[in-house]
Amino acid sequence: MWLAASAKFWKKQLARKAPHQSRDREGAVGFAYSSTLIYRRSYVPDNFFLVTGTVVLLPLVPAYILFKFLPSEAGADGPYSGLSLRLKGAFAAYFIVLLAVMSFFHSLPSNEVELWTIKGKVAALGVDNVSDLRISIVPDQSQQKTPDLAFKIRVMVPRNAQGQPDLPNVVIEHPLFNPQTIHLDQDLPDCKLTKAKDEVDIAGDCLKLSKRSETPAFQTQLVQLPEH
Amino acid sequence: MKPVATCIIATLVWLLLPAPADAAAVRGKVERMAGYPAAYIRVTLNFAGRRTSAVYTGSDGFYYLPKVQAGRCVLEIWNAKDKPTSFQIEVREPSTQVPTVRLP
Repeated sequence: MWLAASAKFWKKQLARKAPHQSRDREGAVGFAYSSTLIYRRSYVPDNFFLVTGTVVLLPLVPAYILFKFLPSEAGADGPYSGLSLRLKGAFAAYFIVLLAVMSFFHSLPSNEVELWTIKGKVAALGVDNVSDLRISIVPDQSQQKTPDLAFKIRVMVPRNAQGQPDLPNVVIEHPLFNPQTIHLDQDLPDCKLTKAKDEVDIAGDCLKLSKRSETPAFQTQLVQLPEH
Repeated sequence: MKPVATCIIATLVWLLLPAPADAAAVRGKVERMAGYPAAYIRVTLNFAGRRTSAVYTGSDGFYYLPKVQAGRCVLEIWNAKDKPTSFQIEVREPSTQVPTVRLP
């Protein structure tokens, strides 16, 4: 009875997850001068191996304890995923606990954020500086800004050759202020960066923007130097 | 004995002198030859081999380097990844305006 209930629950969970895991959506999107964009979502939890390992190994402990100290001929039978199962002894206990643990993990709330990849190739004749090409996401859901000017940005951070996170720079702009660059991989005197596992908290004066001055500044000469 | 005392006093005076404050700011704009702003270009100043922390031009092509020392230096615009386009400039306090740099 309990086995059948667990199996039903587990099948329902799989049915709910399956379309997300296997579905790819492809199609053409017509923006200014675009060619084909391919949308692809990948769903790989951060702790995939840890969870899988725990789910498989954890039921071994009660199964071993039960059948080491309380040997019995108990068994479990019933339909599961279209198969008729008839299990005996320790393996039956293992299987039941495995289903219970799987049900528990899949009843946990799933991540609200998924990692998607948007690919494409822009066709625009005469563009020779790729850095001038800016592609934006609207609305930009990677950023959260609140009226008190606090912000939160979610970014993908690749690892460098040493295996360390290759943190990007943050450029803050406002039409009335001078642009401000914050190097997340450097400790600057004015900038207090508190780094946790996957979070950087920026504090200190480095987020203080200076107003674009209208007062006349010293006009320097610009003498181009030969390239080395 | 007298030269030693002189040396010690001179060293103490040198140590107690305030370090030159980085009180100047440099601002300017980077454009492409076609006339539109060059966004997110790395800009540094090089004071005889001592390079400042990099800043990036905004989406309007403007850059701003706060708290730099006054004097002659080289403005480096990193259009290419590892070879900057360099200009000799003079930085004066409190702020210095650099003419617009046009990049190919």
